[in-house]
Amino acid sequence: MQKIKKEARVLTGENDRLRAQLARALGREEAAGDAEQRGGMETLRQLYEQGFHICNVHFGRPRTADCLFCSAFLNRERD
Amino acid sequence: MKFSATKSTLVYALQIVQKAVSPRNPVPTLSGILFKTGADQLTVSATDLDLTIECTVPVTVHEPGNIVLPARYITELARRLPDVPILIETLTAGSAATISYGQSQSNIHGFPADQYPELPELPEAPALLISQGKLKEVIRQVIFAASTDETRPVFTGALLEIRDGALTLVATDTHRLAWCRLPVQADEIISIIVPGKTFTEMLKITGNSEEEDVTVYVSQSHVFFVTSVMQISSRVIAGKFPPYQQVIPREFSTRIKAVTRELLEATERASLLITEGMPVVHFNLEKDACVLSVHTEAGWIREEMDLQVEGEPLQISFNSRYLCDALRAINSNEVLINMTGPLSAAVIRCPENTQYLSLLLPAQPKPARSE
Repeated sequence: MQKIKKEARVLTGENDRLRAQLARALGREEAAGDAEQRGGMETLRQLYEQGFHICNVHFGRPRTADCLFCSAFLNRERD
Repeated sequence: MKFSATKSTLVYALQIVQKAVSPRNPVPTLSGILFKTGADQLTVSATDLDLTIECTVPVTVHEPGNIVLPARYITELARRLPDVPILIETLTAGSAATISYGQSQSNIHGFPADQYPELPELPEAPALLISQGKLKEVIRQVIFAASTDETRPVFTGALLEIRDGALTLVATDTHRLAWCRLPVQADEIISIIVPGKTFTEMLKITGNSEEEDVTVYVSQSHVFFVTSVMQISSRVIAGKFPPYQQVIPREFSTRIKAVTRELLEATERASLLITEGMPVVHFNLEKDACVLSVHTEAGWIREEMDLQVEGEPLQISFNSRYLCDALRAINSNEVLINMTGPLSAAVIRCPENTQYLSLLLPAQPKPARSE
């Protein structure tokens, strides 16, 4: 049990690190100008359609259904 | 401890507090109910360390004292007692009690009261005084939107805010959201997340009286709801409630006005044919015409509804269970649903009440990846 708990902790940490990395990468993309910003948004949209949250509430976590916060973010960016 | 009470008084008090009993907790005393007698009154308390319920009822106290009795035995026994005066008396050492009724007696082993955990202490100053009926109605209108997913604790509760002379309650499971605002007289600014379970239990055990008040107290870690007979205290959920204002749409392209009961009944009928997967009902909205339909392997249903449709034609789908929950929370004969398209959240509200709304995301044709 201890071993499983330790493994879960390591994996959770790794997940958080990867999510942060992804968020940073997308942030950089958005900061690199209008054309690239559109690219960043497209990546976020794809990420959402692939079944991941893109909202600041649960960024990068898998989602089982649509999310009000992700949807509002996408709508804001579209407008 | 020695006191006598009527069966109905005892059963009433035990039924109120047993919702907070924690039968499977590793701490054995938490499976019990604390009995405490004071000046001609009995206070029974139960806690699972998150939710605590206390109920005070009038009894005849012969000797003050206290004891913890296993909830399972004392509640069931009290319910089955004959309708005669009941005498409850603790034995020496205070870890067992004799229950006498008529010519009969029963003995139940319990725990000394000093083994029971300390209950949260009521702060001195109240934060809010509100009628029970009004508070319950606000809770009922909002709490359905809270999540049951314990991995995201913030969403399992409702945000309770008191500021600018209003009480605001908000709950969201991120698929839907409910918001309600009520003018109140309160000076203190408060923003806490109250567990959904606490509100659900409050709906069950408190009365609907508009005349009887509930006093709300807030400490650093707990919120207390106090009435003349009971005190419900709950640990607040730590964390920050997400900025919900930004998800409420402000512009709409299509709007329907319907009789709440008719729309609810039609959605419930359509849901009957949904046997697996997400329960989705489809709406085809055109100028003053609405067709609600469901096609599944079990069959199909198509209902033409007589309701007002304004704005652009729209084809939109909703999770029928979520839609029914939202319609049940509406406390008016008519409901307004404002929409911006098949992908944006619909805003559901009462025509005559601008202080309440719920949001519901349309169901997407393509299911999202499973977790």
